[in-house]
Amino acid sequence: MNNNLNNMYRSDSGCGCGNVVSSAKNGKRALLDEINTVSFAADELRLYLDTHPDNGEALDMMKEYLDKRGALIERFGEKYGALDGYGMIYGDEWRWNDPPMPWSDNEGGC
Amino acid sequence: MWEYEKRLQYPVRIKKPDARAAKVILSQYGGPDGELGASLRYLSQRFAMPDPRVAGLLTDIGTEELAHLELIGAIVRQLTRDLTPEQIKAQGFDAYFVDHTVGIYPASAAGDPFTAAYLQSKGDPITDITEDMGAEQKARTTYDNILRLVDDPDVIDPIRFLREREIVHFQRFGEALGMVREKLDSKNYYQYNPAFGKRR
Repeated sequence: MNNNLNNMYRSDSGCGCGNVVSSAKNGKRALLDEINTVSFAADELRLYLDTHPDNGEALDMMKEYLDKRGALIERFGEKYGALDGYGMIYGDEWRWNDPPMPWSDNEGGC
Repeated sequence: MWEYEKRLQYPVRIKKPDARAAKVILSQYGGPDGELGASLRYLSQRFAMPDPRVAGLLTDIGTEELAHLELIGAIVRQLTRDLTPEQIKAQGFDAYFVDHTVGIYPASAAGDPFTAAYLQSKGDPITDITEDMGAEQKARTTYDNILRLVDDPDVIDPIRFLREREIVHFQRFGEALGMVREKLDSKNYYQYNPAFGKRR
């Protein structure tokens, strides 16, 4: 059991998929990447609009990205669990625990 | 208040542990020009910021810095997974390990614990925004230095993202400084402090 001591600080929750990303995992990652991309556009536009509140073009872009973002987050929630801390119930189910923590092996490492 | 969204602002997918890289990147968690200091600086300064547009910008950038703090934590976590004690010693991570194992602790690369002395909240809009512009450049330089020290593309990618954000924030703070000045006497910006006292 010498290994046990060493393993206390090792992640033993490896996803076990080796280097092969399964297609189900691929779909989830692709959707998450899309959410991240659209959300980042909104993050960037938010700061821009803070200092350029009268820019109509930026405002229109923001509206478009926010609509897309809402739909994508809803789609992700139905399939994989809730990302939104105020929208975690789908049907009658608590889905806030479903997505792994975003730094974990399941989300990032492999 | 704040709401948590269960995702990183930018994906972190590091396959290969590297404790040496983790040690230098950790400085952007709790070091002198790190993301914890950045978020506390802006989120504290905003209370005395008289222009609501600029107080809003401080809130939004301060909030993004919290997401960057999480990104750095994720990078360090993934870089320190599955290390053997031999690797910890060989990669110079033993001094950190003895106190924190592989937990994430806000400290600089040299091991100094985080301190509020890394930031200022001066209660003067020109002074605070000027500090913020300097802070963004200091953080950018730190990321440049990290990029000089790491070679794994999985690590370089999110670090480059963070570096670019410093440049955008610097730009927005520059515009905020202009907004603050708009409301002051252009013949003497320092005639009075708009966050304290009345215009003479």
